[in-house]
Amino acid sequence: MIKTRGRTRRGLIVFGSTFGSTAQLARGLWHSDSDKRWLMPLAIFLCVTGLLLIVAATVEALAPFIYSIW
Amino acid sequence: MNILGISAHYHDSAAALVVGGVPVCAVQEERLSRHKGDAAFPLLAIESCLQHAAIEPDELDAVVFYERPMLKFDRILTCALRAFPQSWRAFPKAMKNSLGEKVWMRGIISSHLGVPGGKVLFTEHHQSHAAAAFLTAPTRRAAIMTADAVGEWATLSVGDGERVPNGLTTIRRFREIRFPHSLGMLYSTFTAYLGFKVNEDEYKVMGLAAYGQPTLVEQVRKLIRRTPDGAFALDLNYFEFHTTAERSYSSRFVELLGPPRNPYEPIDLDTSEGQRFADCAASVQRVLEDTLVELARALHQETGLPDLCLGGGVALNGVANARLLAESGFERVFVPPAPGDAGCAIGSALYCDRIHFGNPDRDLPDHPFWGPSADGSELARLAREDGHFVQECHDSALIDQIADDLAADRIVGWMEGALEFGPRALGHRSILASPHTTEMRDRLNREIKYREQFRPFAPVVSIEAAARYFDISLAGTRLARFMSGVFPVRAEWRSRLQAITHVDGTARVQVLERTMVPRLHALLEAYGQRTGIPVLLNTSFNLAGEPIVNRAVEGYSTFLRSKIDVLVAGGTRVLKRTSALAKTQLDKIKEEKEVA
Repeated sequence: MIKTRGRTRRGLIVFGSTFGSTAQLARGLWHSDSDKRWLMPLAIFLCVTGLLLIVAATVEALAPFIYSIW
Repeated sequence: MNILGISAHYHDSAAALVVGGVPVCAVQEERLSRHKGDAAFPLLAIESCLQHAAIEPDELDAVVFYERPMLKFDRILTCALRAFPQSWRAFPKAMKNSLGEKVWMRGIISSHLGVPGGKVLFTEHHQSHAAAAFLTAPTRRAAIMTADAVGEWATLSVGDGERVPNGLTTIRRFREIRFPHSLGMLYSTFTAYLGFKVNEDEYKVMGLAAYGQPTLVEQVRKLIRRTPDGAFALDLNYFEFHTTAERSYSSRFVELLGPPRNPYEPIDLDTSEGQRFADCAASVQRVLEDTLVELARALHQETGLPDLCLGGGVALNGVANARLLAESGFERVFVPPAPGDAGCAIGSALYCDRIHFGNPDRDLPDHPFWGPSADGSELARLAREDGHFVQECHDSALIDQIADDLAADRIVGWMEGALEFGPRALGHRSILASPHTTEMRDRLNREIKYREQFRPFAPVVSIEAAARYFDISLAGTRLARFMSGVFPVRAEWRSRLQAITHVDGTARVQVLERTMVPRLHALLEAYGQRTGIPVLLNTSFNLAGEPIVNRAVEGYSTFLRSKIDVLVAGGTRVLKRTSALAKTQLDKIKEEKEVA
């Protein structure tokens, strides 16, 4: 049986994994054949934006503040 | 090793469990959640797989996701920037869509299953397709071709594979064609242009094509040109799928081919407009086939191998598959029962087992029945509670009874054993009917399936009788094992097989071996003894807009909401209490009791 975890706990696990995934994307862009290194700052900025989206989805009380950024 | 494969977040999500190198369970999320084409994270499917094998999540050695989300994000980002400023409207939506959930798959899988992030692995989308096609096929060496709309970057790949008995497996990729140049996207663009749902209704375009003539081939060839290296490239001036999510085709496309079809208006083939749409479908179908045949021919020359394994959503195109078999030079063509994204769940798990972990090759069962089982006793209980006529009997008596029902033009909902994995009903969740008259086809369309008149129904025939009724070779029967090819109905039988013969004289036939579904094979024989023709109409057991039924209770619900006459699950046969047949049979039973 799969144990049901609360939204906050799941959100924290996802949040914890994002740094590794972002680093993986950055590594991929750095080593890409088609020379996409210039994309790295934008990609990392977007990933950080993604982190905020995860925080907004996980801690509902913060969501209005985070969404107000946009 | 216990390896869980997952495909999700695009369309038709699924999970598959491989234990000791052999799949033990695979199921699409839609069959459990009851939302057609469910793309959500397949938690129900994963739970079903783990329960089936009595495995806890912490006993999994690896969980494999069927594509690399970060590579896909790289493509979305790059394409959005390339298409700037046209893409500015789609850009925020695409970013929110990806960054809100899809790119963080390692964390999402860990958070749901409680497995450490190190156990979560990724394969490339087309590697998953290639593995699903090659590793499940009964061949040791084969050329491999995969084609779909898009994975991460690849839209089509060619390569080869080799399995050494109890040894190592290799899958090599020679070349790939990259987004936005995509045969799948070309076909999907026409699907949208013709007023159907993209990524869902492509088979309707194939069905419509038979009503038209490829008179617009020259125009379609302007959209896709062959390149000197043997590949192809789309003329992006005619498309918008790479810049916006709103529309797939551009104004230039409309200038070239005329106004698109209004999805809310039915296609009337008696009008010139309706015929134009059919001609469009026929033309894109012809161009797709020609391109695939040329690519496959080149692959055959390059590899010199007799077998071709086909994967990806494009491999669902049975007309193209049959042409590949006939014209590419390959002696055999293998298409798995789930060549689309759902099948990637099995493909990614097998790829991980054979290639990543280097486990020895295993021969796999050659069938599509990897889902949960239907329980006849559950059906009997439900039907008795509602006062319907229920009969429970052993196999041979039941098969005789159902053959009588079918010969009397009754429509039968047929459930047995494990659910099929993939989009086709192949004899475990089927609606069966007599295939002889157009009245039966119209009745099914009108009263049960509620679908467009131009769409054909498929037949099922035993392998022993296939060549008598269909123009099909031995290699063709292999392609037809999972209903993956379209073949001509022999001219002399078309008048007696009207319900399953398409307007162009073909049928997407399933050729059944006794060992794959013994009871359905026995039913075909019993039906043949009564009518002289051992062929049945076989369509998926669902109503319009619903996924194929899974458990007996869903079959029962579908039975009650439609005009299916007889429902069978395992050894249980049910008739509606209001039907004249049920009353007759009840009277007969009473008489027999009185005599006794």
